[in-house]
Amino acid sequence: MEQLTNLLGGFADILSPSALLFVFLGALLGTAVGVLPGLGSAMAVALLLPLTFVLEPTSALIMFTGIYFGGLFGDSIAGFLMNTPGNSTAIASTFEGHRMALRGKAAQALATGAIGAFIGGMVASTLVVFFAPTLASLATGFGPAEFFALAVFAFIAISAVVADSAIRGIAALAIGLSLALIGIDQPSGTPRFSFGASQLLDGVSIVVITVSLLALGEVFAQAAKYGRAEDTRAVMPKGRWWLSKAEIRQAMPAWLRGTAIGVPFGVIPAGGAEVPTFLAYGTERRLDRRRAQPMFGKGAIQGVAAPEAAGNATAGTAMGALLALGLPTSATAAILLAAFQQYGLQPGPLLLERSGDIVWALLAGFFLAMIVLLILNLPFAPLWAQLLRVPKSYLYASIAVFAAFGVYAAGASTVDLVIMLILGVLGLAMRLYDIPVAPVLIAVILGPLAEYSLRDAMTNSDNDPAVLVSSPITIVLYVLLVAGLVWTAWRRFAEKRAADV
Amino acid sequence: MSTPTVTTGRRPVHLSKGALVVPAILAGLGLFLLYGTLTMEVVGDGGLFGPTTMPWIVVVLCFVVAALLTFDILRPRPEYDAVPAATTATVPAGTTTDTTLDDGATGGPSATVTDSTDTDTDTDPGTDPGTDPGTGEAGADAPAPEGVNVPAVLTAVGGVVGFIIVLPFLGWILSATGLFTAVAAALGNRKWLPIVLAGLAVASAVQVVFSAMLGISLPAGFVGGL
Repeated sequence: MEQLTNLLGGFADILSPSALLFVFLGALLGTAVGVLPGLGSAMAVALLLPLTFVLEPTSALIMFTGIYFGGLFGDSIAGFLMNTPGNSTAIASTFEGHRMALRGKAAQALATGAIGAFIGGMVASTLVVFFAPTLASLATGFGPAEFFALAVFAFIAISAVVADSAIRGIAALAIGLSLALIGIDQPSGTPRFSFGASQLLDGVSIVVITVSLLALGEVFAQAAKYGRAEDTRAVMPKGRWWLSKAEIRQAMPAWLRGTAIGVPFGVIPAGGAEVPTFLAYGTERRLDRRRAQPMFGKGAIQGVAAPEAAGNATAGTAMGALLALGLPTSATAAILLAAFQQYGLQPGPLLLERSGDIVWALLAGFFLAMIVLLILNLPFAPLWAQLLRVPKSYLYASIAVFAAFGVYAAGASTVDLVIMLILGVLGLAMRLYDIPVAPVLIAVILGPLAEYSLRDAMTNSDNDPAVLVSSPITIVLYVLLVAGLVWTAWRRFAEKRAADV
Repeated sequence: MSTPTVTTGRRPVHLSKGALVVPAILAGLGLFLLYGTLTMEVVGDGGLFGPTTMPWIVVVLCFVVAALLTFDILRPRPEYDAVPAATTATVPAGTTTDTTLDDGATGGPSATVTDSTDTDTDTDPGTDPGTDPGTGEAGADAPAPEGVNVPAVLTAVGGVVGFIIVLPFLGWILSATGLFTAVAAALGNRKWLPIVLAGLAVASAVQVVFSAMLGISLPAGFVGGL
């Protein structure tokens, strides 16, 4: 039970007023960006990356994880009340959530969602506490071939398995890999693609890339969409925000089933919580059909409970995969990885050994963040709903200013600002033509790891490609990858068939 | 998850001619990397897996993906092309829907190079009776409800360009206020005084919190000299 001792040590570290302040700030910001459609935790963390220049690692990282979880608490609010899910992770729960709201049960729908997110997050965090050290010690034996397999796994999974269209996902991957190549080649010292510009020798900063693509790209996309008819009528939550015993009895099994579905997805680079939330929704729907009085379509509480629990369970184990393996499985996790790198910390097997105190404080922070988020979301959901009244023009103008600030703070250089403009326009083009952004971020962050481990593996083995599949771990990873691809192909096929009937 | 496909007789934006921008960007990136790799002055002995290996891989990836994406965008799609936009409502759904789903299942987004020729022959009969490429194009070029508000985008982009130009001279607070105003205007807000005041407030807040309290330096411009 070494983990428990370590975790208690982590709690001792963060139960200081200043650390609690950052937990609270993170939860507050996360919920806010979750509530506001078009914003998301990935963008919020990207915009706050400059804080890593001045804050202590523990404070900044705790705040960022609070934002990650908070985004998943808040995203259902806009979905349930306005039928416009703020993020893709809330689409599944919005179907039944909005119907509940229309039946006058908006407050209960929000409570079901918040409690589901809490349960999912708590269970996942507990699993991470117990299994992250095991996973990390398993991964300490990783050599270049294993890291290469891990990176390839992440690339293919996020671009081909998650994205609606595999070719568009891989297009995004190619863009990210290209960006990652700019700058000095570490092993040889060769300047690459800088064309004599000294500002490019260090490569394009990850802060610049994330802020430009996520924040400025979204600002431009909002401008592009301006003038379209929008339905912004919101159903405001009224009445009791707690659940009756009967409601809890209905929701509890769904919360637990959702959690069980969400947990494994955090470890697979399936691009975050979208796939598990839909799986959880689908499961509940099938179960509902067998009941005497099917409730789906009329605002079934289970249809809200399961996807919300699945979403946060995925986020929890995604943090575990990030900390123990250095494997980002969603866009926000990728930016969190970048935040670690800003501090010279490399998430992965060695992190727990070298900076155990930070990791345990962070894990303790997960639990605190969940509790704070539950308190912030349960009774105060109507207040959060008021955020939906902030005019878009002010909101996105502020985001543009923060983006410009973040990029300038990263390097105080005009070159960075010009790159920001170019990438912002690229972000707009990607949004207009359905190219996902997450693979770009994963490619930028894992690109160097993939390249250097490939070269290491090849140099160590006198260019024998067999070394890449020589260990059990690499074989398992590639087999999992193929299985994932087959499953995706089957799922797409089944969806088409289902649409047919 | 995929959004439900509605047979509107009009191609969705990501399959319109405009979407060719993306393969163009990829091809451009490929050329950029190709030129950079060919002119790279490799330090030391590169070896088989040297600093140019990964660039070569990415160059090939860029060109291959650009080609596949171009094909995916341009290939005939009976579900959108066969039905002219104006007559959508009156066309009996039966046969059209059948070809739609057939095509979707065999030649969906995950189609690879090898079965691309296969898909081609499969879809040809589907398009022939319905329409010629001309009507398909008309459908794609007609003003779509999801059209891009070009003036708004130009205003926002212009705001960023202006910000970059004036930042060294005017300093953070004034430049950022300008940026705020431009973006708010792009999003349709024309209440100038409240916008400028709000922009001033946001810019000053950033300056106070991040620069004064957290020590991140921002350009002061001439305001700092006063």
